[in-house]
Order: sequence, then C-alpha cells, then structure tokens
Amino acid sequence: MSNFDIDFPQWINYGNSNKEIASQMEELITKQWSPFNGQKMANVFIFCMAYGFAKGKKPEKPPGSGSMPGSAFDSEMRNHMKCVSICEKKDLEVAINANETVKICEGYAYAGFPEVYDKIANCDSKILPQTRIETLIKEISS
Amino acid sequence: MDEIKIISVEIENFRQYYGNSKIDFIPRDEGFTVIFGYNGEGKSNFLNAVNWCLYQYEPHGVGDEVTDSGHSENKFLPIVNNRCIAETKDGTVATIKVDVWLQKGTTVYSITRTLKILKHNIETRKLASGTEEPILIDIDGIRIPKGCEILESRFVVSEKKDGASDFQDTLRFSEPENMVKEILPRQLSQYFLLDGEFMEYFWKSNKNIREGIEQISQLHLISGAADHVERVMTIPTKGFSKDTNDLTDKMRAFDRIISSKDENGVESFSDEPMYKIDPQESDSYYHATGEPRLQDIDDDIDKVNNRLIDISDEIRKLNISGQDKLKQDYAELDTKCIDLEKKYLQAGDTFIFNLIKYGPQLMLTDAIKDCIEIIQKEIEIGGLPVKYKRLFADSLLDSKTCVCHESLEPGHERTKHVKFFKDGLVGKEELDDIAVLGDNYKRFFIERYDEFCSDKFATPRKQHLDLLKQYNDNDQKLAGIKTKISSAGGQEGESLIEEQRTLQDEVKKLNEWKTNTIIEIKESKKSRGDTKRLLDKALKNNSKAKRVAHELETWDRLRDLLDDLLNSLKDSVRETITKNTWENYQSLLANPSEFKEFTIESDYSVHLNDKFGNNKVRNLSAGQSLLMTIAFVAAIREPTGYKFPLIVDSPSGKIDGPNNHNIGMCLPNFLPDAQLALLVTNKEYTDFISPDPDTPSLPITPVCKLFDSNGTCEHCKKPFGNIKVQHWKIIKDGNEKSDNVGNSEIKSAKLEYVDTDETHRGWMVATNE
Repeated sequence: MSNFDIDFPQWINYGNSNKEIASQMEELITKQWSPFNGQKMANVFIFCMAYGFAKGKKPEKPPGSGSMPGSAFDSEMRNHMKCVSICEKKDLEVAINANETVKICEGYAYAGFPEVYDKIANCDSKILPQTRIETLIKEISS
Repeated sequence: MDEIKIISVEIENFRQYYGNSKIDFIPRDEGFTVIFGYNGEGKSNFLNAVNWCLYQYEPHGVGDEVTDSGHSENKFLPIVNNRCIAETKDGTVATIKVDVWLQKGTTVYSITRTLKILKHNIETRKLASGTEEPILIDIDGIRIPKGCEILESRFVVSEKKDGASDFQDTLRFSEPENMVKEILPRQLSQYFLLDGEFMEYFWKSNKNIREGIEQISQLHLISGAADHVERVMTIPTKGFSKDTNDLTDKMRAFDRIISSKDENGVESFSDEPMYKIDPQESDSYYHATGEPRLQDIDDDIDKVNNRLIDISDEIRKLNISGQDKLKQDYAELDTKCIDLEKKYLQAGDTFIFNLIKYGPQLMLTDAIKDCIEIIQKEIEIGGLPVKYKRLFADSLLDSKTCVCHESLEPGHERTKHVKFFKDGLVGKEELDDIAVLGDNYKRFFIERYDEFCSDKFATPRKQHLDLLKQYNDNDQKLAGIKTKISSAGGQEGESLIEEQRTLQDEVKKLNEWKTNTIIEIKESKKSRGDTKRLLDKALKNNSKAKRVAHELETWDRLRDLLDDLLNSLKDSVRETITKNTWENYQSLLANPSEFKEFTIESDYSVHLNDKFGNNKVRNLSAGQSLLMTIAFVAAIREPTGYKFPLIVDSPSGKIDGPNNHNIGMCLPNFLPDAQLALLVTNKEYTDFISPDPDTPSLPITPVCKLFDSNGTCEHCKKPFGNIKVQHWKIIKDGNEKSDNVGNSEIKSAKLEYVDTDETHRGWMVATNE
C-alpha cells in the first residue's frame, strides 16, 4: 500500500451539512429516474468532480466535515483524483499528498454537484436514466 | 379508540334472501365467523345487505352484466326477493328489512333499514323461452318490479348504553345517518367490508391509498382546519383603503380559481362531461379550475385505466373456436418477450454501469492529456523516475567521483551536496507511481481513445438498443396477434379494440390536462402568495389596519404550523403504513422473494418493484392484489388505532395453491385483535388445495383444517391456527335451481368429514338441522 493510500482521509466531504445538497444526493442514489440509483455516493462524487473540473467551475470548499467513507474510493477513482490535482496545481508533487489532493477534488465535486443534479433530476420524466447521464458526458467530451 | 364489534345481522326479503335469516357473529377472542356459500347463492349480497342497511348503498355488482355462468346479477334483480313479491297478494305490502347490531365500547346499537313495497299488478315481458319475467324500474335508485310502489322507507338507529335495560331511539341527532357516520363512517366501509372485487382492483387507483391513509388516520380533519384557516382566516375584511381592498379582491379571485368556487362559495363546473363506465349513468362534469378539477382528472385517469385493464381481460377471455394456433403463437412470443425484457434490462444496467465508471475518465480527457504532458516534461528534464536519480547519487558516492570528475572525499563540501541531493529524494518515490500512471493513461486510454469509447460506451449502447428494438418488435407482433385473436371474436372483438384505442387517446388527453392544471394551480398559488405579501405590507403601513395585520400574522403562523403538522403526520403515518404493509405482504406471500421493495410515495403513488426494478403494482394478479389489500388494511389499523371489524368476501377466491396454504396458515394469527368474518366458497375453504409441481411438499390440507388444527405444519413449519370457527351456510331453495335470483336462507352450520367412498371423501359445511 502506498503512502498516498495510507494517508487517504477516512472521511470525504461532499457537503453533507448543506441540507439541500444532502437531500439531493440522497435522491440521486435512491430514485428510479436517476442513473446513480443504487450506486455509492462516491460514484456521484467522482462524476461531479470530473464534470465540475472539465466545465471549468470555480472550486468551492464544501461546508462541514467529511461524511463519505474514504474506503469507497477505489484505485481508479483515486487516480482520477490525482489527475485533477496535478492539473490544478501544475505540479506532480501534489499527487503524492492525499490530503491536499482530496481537498482540491472536494472543491470541484461540490462546485459541479448542483448542475449535475439539476440536469439529471429536472428533465422530462420520459427520458431514460442512461440518456440523462450520457447527455452530461457528451456535453463535455464532444 | 373503542373497539367496534358486529353482534348480529338479520336480513329479511333482501335480494336473494327469502324470509328471515339471522347470523350471530363471534368476537375475535372466541374465533372466526365463516359464512359458506356456493357461487351465486348470495355471499356478495350479504355484504350489500350490510352496506345497504348502514349507508343505503350497495357496492357489489350493481350494474353488472351477465356473469361467467350466464346468470345475471343485481342489474336484473329487484331489491325485494322475487319469491316474497310473488307470494305477496296484490294490494298488500312486502317488507324488506336489514338489521345490524353493533357494539362500540360498552354501547350496543341496533341499526335498522326497512323498505315497504305495495304490490299492484306487476308488469311482465315474455322471454324467447316462453317464460315471463317482471319488468324492473328504478325509483330513487331502488330497483323494484314495475307495478309496485314504495310505500315507506325507514331508517332507525337505537342505542343501549351499558347498564340500560332496553334500547332507546337516538334523539341526539336530528338524522340517524349522522349517528352511523359517527360509529362507522361510510368512507371507511370499504376498508372493513372487504369486497373481493374491490380488493382485486384496489391497487389500480392511488385514490384508495390516499383515502385509506388520510381518512382512517383522521388527517383530513387537520387538512380541513388548515384549509379553513388558509381560505377564511388569512384574508382580511375590506374597508381600510382602496389598495388593500383591491389586493383582498385579487386574493379572493385566486382562491376561487384554486378551489373552483364562485363568489358565493358555490362549486363551479365546466361543461366538459366526465368519463362514464356505464352509459346509463347520469352525467357529471369536471370542476372548472384548480384542485377539485385536478382531483376529477385523476379520478378519470384511474377509471379509464381500469377500464383499459378490463378490456384487455375481456379480449383475452374471448372464447372463439379456431384460435388455438394464434393462442399458441401468442404464448411462445410472450415467453420470448419476457426473456428479451430481462436481457435488455441487463444490457441497460451494463450501459449505465459503464457510463458511471468510465464517464468521469472521458470527461477528464483533456486533464489527462495535460497530466501526461507535465509528467513527460519532468522525465525529459530528468526529474523522473526518482529511483534513477537515487541510483545516480549512489553510484557517485560509491565511485567517490563527481560528475565533474573531481573526487568526492568524505566531509568535503562537494560530497555534502551529493548527499543532500540524495536525502531530498526521500518520500518522493511515489512520484514514480505517478509516472507509471501517466504511462498507463497514455497507452491504454489516449492512444486507444476510439477503442475505449467503442468498448465502454458505443457497443453497450448498441447492444441495449438492439435488444430494446427486438423487444419492441416482438411486443408489436404480440399486439398484432392479440388484435387477431380479438378480431376473430367478430363485432364484439372489434368494438373492444376500438374502445381500447379511444380510451388510450383519452388517457393521453387527460394527462395533458393534468399537466396544464398542475401548472395553472402552481401559478395561481404563486400569484396568491405574492399578492398576500403585498397585502400584508399594505396593512402594516395602514394605521387603521394594524390590529387586523397583527391578527393575520397570527393566523398565517397557525396555518404554517398546521401545514407542518399535517406534512409531518402524513409522512410518519405513510412511512409506518408502508413498512407494515410490506411486512404483512411478505408474511402472506408464499414466495416473498418475487418482489424486492415496496414504497408509498408522498403523492400516494405505490411502487412494488421486482428484482429488475420494474414497478409491478398495476400488473398484479387478482390473487396478489387480494393479498396486498389485506396486508394494507391490516397495516392501516396499526398506527391509526381504528378497531373496526373485517368482513372479507372471497379472501382467497383467486389465489393459487401455495398462497392459499400460506393465507390459511397466516390468517388465524393475523390481526389478533380484529373481529373477522369470512364469506367463502367450497373452493377456497373446504376443497383440498391443488398439488403444486414447484412445491411438491405442499400439503393438500384444506383451509378449514389449517384454521382449526393443532400442531405444526411440516411443510412451512408454522403452527396451525388452532382457532374455533363458527360456521353459517347459505342454503338455496333446491326447486329454484335455474333461478339465480334465488331464494336463499342462512342457517347455522358445522364442519363435517364425509367418507362415503373413495371418490366421495372430504370436508363439507353442513347445516346443524
């Protein structure tokens, strides 16, 4: 196990103490219309982080403290987080500092969350969950 | 809340029931009451009799067409028994009477409804068979033979308090109906006088769920209070200034839109007629605007959807020769469709999984490219890999020669620099992992970008869409075969298909109306709120209106408190009922794993999801719906404390073998404090349960023996009911077999084992006479 994994925070903050965000996160992982239905919050977090970063959102420090277990983030997710932190700081060394990396990613995930939620939740009920998430990805990658 | 018990029901000359029949009910701590009767003998009309007595309303079968057996039900039945009217001499009176004795707490009530009919010359018509049949007419909703007149309709409620020697007619209320309303309100009757038909269609309408939860929990009292405060108390009287008068008028106008009422509080209706299942039914019209209109639309959507389900059933039931091949094709295609449905759902899951797992990587493509560039630059300037830098430092120190070929003597300044360089590398080893990460991103993602996109997104999407298309194609073929089957039914089939198409368009139109009405209500409420804020401000600034402004503020606060209270109570009751219904349902189902979860949402929509996440609540079989309704009715008793009795008509009429066994095992322990009476046929009570190929160990023991046996069932390891059952049997006059209108009586009975020979062996309910 690398030092990065050893130092990886036990709890990650997505902004749970903002009640609106907390209830929207709950909706995303429990409602049938959501592509994240039945998924872990960590998946939503990484998706929002990538969306927020790619859209050039201004990172915002989420209120409160961590509430998502760090163990929910697998190595692939952690690699994406390292990538974001390197690009943010234009420096490789940030990627071996787990706390610094997580802090940067929390900011982008919190900044990206409202738009991701809005675009997934507030669309025609006939639109399939997969189409909702695919539209978001295409918006960035095409 | 006081427990309510039915003590007895006495029926005289009501529909099938000739003469006088009286049934005594036993309380729950003594066991169950079972009323046994064959089809068409009058079980459902027993429920109708109780409903008619209490509410002058008959829920079952009124307006029915011809039944499966070819007999007609209540549409062709007068309320008075045929034999009684035939035996009544012209110019004399026939009496129809139902008397229900109830006990609430320690008070006993006798509720009696009597109808006296004067017989003159009855008009008849000749049937093709040559027999004569009386012509029926409706007088104030009561169907009697033409040539008779209603002489008297009486409704008396008497009560006997604890310790009193006799009954006294109630003087507390000007109308005895109000007394019944207090004892057992009619809105609740459908939750304790459980009709098989009602239970079968229960889950097809959110209205049943909403009413069940709100009425029984008495939440409507709070919503009524909140509504009253909102509509009446939070609008000030006029007369302070022109501004406030105008604003008050504006608010009242919005209220009229929201509540669909005119200036005098009279309900406003549009000229658009509501949907009618029976064309003979009198017209009713949609409310003009607001919440009542939304409610009307919802009711119509339910009605139309239920009719669509009935049409599908009728099409399926069309019994036409030469359809065997079509039916076989239908069955094969149906199986294929089920298989395809599973496959496309799985493919959809895979696609979503990939979008979630690899979507972020795709969105980070530019970031990954930047990252690779930064790493590349670091490698180019020799900053990476760190382990090479360490090796380099070690080799210099080992060879004691610097890169500039000068010697590295211990303690020399040059040597110190090299050591400092080496020490600086400690903790940076993990940067090499970053270099590897960059390399992996480059080789397996950036350089194979198209392959990555194809593998992770395009292919799964295509697979999903292909399977969906195949499924839709098959589904269309299935619909085609269904049409052929129904067309083969001639005009009847064609008219059903035509009705189906018209109603499908009707549902679309209603849903559009619903959306528009919701938007209109939202806008009106928003505008009302804005006007209210302006009015509050204007009143505060008006010295004459300060007291009124203060009062309004108080009422506003009260309304907010009532709203909060209502919402929190609603949520809590709904959550408890959801949990209890689900637990009850699982205990009643023989195979509880068929469904994965059950929820009642805040708008009272119900979700009963299978393992693929599909909501099956509107596709429940009749048996599943019956079990689920029993589970719900049991659940609403718990948090509300409403202790009403249950009379259940055909509790397992359409339930399969394993579930029939399960219900027979569970019912005795279910609702331990509820008085229970069951109206049953031989099929669901005394007949041996059919063996089931999927559960070979299922015993064939009939339900009657599951109720009263001791010990434990070897199949399900549950204890048998071990309860006393008081039996009654509906006896139909043997000489009138061809006449479903019947001459039935109810007699005290018992369970008997018959063992005449090998082919005549089993349990039966026989009268005590």
